[in-house]
Amino acid sequence: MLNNNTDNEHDKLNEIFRQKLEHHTLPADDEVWDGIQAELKKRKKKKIFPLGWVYAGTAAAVLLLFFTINNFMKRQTEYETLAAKTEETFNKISDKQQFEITENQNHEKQTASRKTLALNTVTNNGKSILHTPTDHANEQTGATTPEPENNAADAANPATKTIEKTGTDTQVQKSKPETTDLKAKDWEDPVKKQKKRGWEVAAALSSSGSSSVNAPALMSNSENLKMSVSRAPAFSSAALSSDEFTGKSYSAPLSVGISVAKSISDHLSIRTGITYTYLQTKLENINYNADLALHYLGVPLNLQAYLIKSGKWGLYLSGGGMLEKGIRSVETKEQYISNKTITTTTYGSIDGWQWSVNGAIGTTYDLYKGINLYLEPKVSYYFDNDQPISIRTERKTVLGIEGGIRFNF
Amino acid sequence: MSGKNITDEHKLIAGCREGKSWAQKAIYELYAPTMMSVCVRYVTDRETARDILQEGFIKLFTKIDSFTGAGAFAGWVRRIFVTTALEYLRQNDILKQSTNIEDYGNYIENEEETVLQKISADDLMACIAQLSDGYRTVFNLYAIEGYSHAEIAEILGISEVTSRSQFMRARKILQKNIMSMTGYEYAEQQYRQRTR
Repeated sequence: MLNNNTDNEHDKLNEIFRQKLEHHTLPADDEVWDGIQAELKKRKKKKIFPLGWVYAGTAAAVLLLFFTINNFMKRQTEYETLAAKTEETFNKISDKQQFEITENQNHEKQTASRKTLALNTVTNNGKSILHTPTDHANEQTGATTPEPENNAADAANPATKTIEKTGTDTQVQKSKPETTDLKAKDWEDPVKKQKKRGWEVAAALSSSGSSSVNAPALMSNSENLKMSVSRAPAFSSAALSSDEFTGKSYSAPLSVGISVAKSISDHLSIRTGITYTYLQTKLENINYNADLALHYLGVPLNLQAYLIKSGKWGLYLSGGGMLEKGIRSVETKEQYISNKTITTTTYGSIDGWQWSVNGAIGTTYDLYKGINLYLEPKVSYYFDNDQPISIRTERKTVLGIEGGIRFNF
Repeated sequence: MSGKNITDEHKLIAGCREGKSWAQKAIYELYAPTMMSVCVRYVTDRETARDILQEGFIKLFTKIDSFTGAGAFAGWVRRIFVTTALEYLRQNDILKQSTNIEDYGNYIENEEETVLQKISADDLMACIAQLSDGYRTVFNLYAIEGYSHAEIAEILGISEVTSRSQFMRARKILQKNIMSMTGYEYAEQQYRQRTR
């Protein structure tokens, strides 16, 4: 054990050791930094979220489409089953001669007619597919029907009219066909609907896939010194080359727009409008970081074809193109020079035009008469039109999703 | 560190948290030379020290979110590299290897402080490098990094007494090495002073 003097001496000596060695430096090779960078890049690649919420949304939309189709098929099967049962039921009724005319049972007749309405209102191009129970009754008990000549006219008329007439002209006693929830409006022909509502206005919000290329998550650095200048010759979007940057991170493009559609045939409509798109890209190299924000206005032109309509749900295909003009670019450069972070912001215009084509499959849901919501996963291809760096220059084909509300009138 | 530099350091740390390359590069340039010296002090072999330096910086950049800002960033950085060096020594069973315990006698003399003041840091590094791995590690942790023997005992998984005794032996060996390295120069200086 040391005595106090020795302890004090040790403390002094340790202090000298510490002073001499605490800040001692030895040169570190550049290879070390290269190795660090390579390893960090490797780890970042593993962390990149490959799909993003847009793709999750796309998956949800596809599920929705599946649900719509499934719903349609299910209803189609139910309809066929009911049609068969209805025919069988009324064959039995006619065999037993259970129809008779009575003035005192007008109310009952109407009730019976309303029940049969549900079974007989599927139309195809305005023509009745099924015979109504009363049609059958009339056909088979024509002698007891006061105005049998009306049946011929009824068959040619829309279903609702037919039912009204049979309701007043015939009586159905204890004819309670098996109940069904199917409503006449459930089987409205989408084509007919398109004809009725020739014009459609829509408000849309859409986004496409985001991605990162050897780049970290997007975050803002609010502590940086902000310095806005009107022009920064060293950093021009037109001069930017994608190869200059070791890291590129693209935010999901965001688009909002309004459009108008006009029916041009039974199943087809043409749609156009105006769309604003915001694109953001984070660029990074060893000397500085850059944030490039691009603002575009575009005019889409799409052809839309309705495939099926089942109840409140509908399914359609859409395809077309869009011409966009870049209206503004905002470049924010963040540079670390002599222990200072300097942020330079440059505002500029974007030359040229951006052409693109797109295709989509969409689903609609009727909210209210003439108002429906829609959701469509879409794929867009952007042509190389010498535009500033964005997700469109990195990936020509971009998967996205669009949703909105449409008003028919 | 001045207020301005502290602010800059905060910006660099924020940049590193966001994974910015320029911030990582700046931090590397700031700390790499000092941390290289730390690594060499623990493992002596330059090639191994470079590997530890690289591993340490990768840890620093990937775990920077765990720096709460409560203490000095420089201290936090140093701890990462010391820990990385110790991990290497532990993984390679270097700390468990037997050391040659010799009685080097008591070299503590009044003149030692003067000698130490004059010796260069590079020479001191060379003297430390001559210590066995176990002694060198305890010496580094106690004398340079400022850990207590209780902390060293916990870090290295040894008893506190062992830590103390290893440090004392390390000191004696180091004194011997320093005196033998500086003996000629020191004698020369003494002679000049006497002949003035």
